Amino acid sequence: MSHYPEASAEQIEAAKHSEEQYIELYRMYVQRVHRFVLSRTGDVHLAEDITQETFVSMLRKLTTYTPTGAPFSSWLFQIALNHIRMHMRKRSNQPNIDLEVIPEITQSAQDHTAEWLDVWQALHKLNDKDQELLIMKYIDGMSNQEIATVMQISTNGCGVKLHRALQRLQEYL
Amino acid sequence: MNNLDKQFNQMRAQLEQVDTSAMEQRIEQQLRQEWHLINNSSQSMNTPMNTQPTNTTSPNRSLWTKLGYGFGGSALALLALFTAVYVQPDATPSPSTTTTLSTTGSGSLSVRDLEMPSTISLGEEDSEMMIYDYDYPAEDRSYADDEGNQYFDESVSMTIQVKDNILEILEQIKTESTNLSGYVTNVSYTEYSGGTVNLKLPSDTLTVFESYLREIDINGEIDVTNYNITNVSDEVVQLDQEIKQLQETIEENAQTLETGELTDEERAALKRSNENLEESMTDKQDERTETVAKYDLVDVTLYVREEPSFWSGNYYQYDTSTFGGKIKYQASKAVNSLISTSGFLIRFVIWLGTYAVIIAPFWLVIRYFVRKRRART
Repeated sequence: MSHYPEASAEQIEAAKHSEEQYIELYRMYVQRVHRFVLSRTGDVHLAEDITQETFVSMLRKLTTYTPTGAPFSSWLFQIALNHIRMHMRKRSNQPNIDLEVIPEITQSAQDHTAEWLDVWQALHKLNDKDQELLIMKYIDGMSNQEIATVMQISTNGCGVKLHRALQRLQEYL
Repeated sequence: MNNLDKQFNQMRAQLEQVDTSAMEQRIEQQLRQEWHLINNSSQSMNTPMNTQPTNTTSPNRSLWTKLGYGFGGSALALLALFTAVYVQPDATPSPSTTTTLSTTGSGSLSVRDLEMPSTISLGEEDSEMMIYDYDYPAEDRSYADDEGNQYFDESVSMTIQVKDNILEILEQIKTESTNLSGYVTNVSYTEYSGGTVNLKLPSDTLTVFESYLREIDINGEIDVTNYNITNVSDEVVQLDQEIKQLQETIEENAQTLETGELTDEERAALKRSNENLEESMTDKQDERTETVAKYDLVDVTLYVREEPSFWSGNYYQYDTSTFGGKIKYQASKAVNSLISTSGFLIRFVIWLGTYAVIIAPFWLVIRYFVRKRRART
């Protein structure tokens, strides 16, 4: 279960008809989405652009959303993932994770900089799917079922892929 | 908690501390503008935003989709049109100059135009169109008619109108004439219109043949347009006299050879002369047989008209001098034209449906993948 609250069906339905309700919905998820995109891309400016595009797409497609039992974040993260992949395809190589480009993170990470930055660097050496799995699992705190919904794979398959991704991450550490 | 989990937690904690307020405000403003934009456009369309069609496509995409469907449909129609034109069932056989009315039975008959009759004469053994070999009757046949030893050369022309197909009627006439010891010498016809049959029948069977014709005529009557009879007995009589004279001369010479005092040369010469006379007599006898056979047969010219059918397309047979005939002519012409065209239309529709069924699965698969790709983007 994710660490973060999820929107209810009534909130989502209200957001379809009301501007303010929609903005409330946006505020509920913007940081999660930004964190997810930033973890995945390692680029602050790109993360902001993708976050914006994600919520604009959400605005346009909200009328098509029908509650299926899965958390709203799963649907939202699918949109974010699509935008991430579209942007990553345009780039020939994976972006170099330059710690100096992330002033917010490096500035605040005074005590534990070496430890989690190692993980950060090792994380971005993995392939796209492994990164997404691990970020959703360990950064956003999503369950295997929620991750499986986002990635459009089975829950069991998700567990196996997570295990393997962790093993590969350990190799880089 | 292992070390990795701890590191991930630290990473999360750091990321949560990132100041995103400026970004959030900026994006919020953008979203509000976007909201108003969508709302205003839906208001101008008199539809609220929440009832907007979910699959809104851009004008360019819609145009491309329409163009795609247009080109695809046109290509399909052209393909069906091409197939319908060039792949036709063999509805009508090509005209052939070969007529195979044979003595052995029914044969295939070909279509020939009455306007360009092509007569077939008996005896043209080198022609491909010879249709009949007739075995002349034996010499001992009795040719005596009601008037004693008289021979008549008869010819008659008759016209009948039938309901059945002309090909079937000609076949029946051939069979009937054969049954009456006669034979067909010439046939020309146009399918769905009529034909002319020339045949020879023994004179004593003419009455029977006429009864048969009345049965097949739709009105039960025969229109006799010509009847000629010529007494040709003198020719036969003359031949008989010649044969008799030859016979007498041969007998005299034979007697002279037996009893007469002749030299060897005279005997040989007389023998040769007798042989020549016997040969001449045989020729005369054959000629007599042929003459009798020929003149004892009636030359029948039969004109067979097929009753005009409204559906068969021979609308030109209607008498347009009458009001009813004009109406029938125009109507039959129109119906025939429609049937001819409809045949093509039916073929076209069938081919169009066939190609649509074949292409439909591929189109569905392509459409599935295209929609899936659009959903991702």
